[in-house]
Amino acid sequence: MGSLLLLLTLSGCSSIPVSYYDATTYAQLTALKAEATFLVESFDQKPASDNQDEINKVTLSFRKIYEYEKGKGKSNSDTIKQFEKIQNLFNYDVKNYMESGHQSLGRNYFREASVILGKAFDIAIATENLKNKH
Amino acid sequence: MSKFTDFVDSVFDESKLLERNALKKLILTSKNNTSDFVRLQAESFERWTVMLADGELTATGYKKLVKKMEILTQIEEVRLTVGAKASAQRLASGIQEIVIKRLFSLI
Repeated sequence: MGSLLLLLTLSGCSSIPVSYYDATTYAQLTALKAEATFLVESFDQKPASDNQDEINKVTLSFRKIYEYEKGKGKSNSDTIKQFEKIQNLFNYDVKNYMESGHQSLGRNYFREASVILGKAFDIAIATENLKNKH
Repeated sequence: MSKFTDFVDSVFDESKLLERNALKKLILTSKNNTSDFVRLQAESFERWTVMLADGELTATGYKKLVKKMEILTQIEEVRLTVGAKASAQRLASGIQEIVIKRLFSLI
């Protein structure tokens, strides 16, 4: 009986911030993955001047989703942490593209950078799927 | 011999035999790892090394891609943490539901 009470006490602890599965987050991440990887892949073919509008559009999408995730509060800190890192990967790709130009890091550099960005999104999407549903 | 090992052999001369073998062993064992994540990281590294050897990537581009492996690992670490938290949460909720609501109602 003592062990059972201990287990019940532990089960009632709420010290671990936990967020629940959010279908909106899942949909936003999958949509942004497609947009962002498609854009970064194009960096190998197009000069930066031809891509500015698309870069602005995807950057804005990143910011909107970041604000949505941040708005969920402390319990969502894991997803925010992941999203910040994905956003940094994207910003780093854009910075390299703007500063070095296309093809200066290798003719297929951004194709590989796009694969990495896609993997980062896949992990975040898988993370959302791991969360419990309400 | 694969293009990857050929290139590693050409970069590390005989004086760096230890590093050369350690790198080849690390990639070989990682490619056989049970974790999809570790396996994919090793496969990516091998592919970039071959691309560097073939001139598809510059040395700077190669280094930038390799550095990104660390960021991916940090994102994966968060996934593992969330998985553990979700399991703990399921256990706690299951105990509450089964023991408190059902079992205690019978006592």
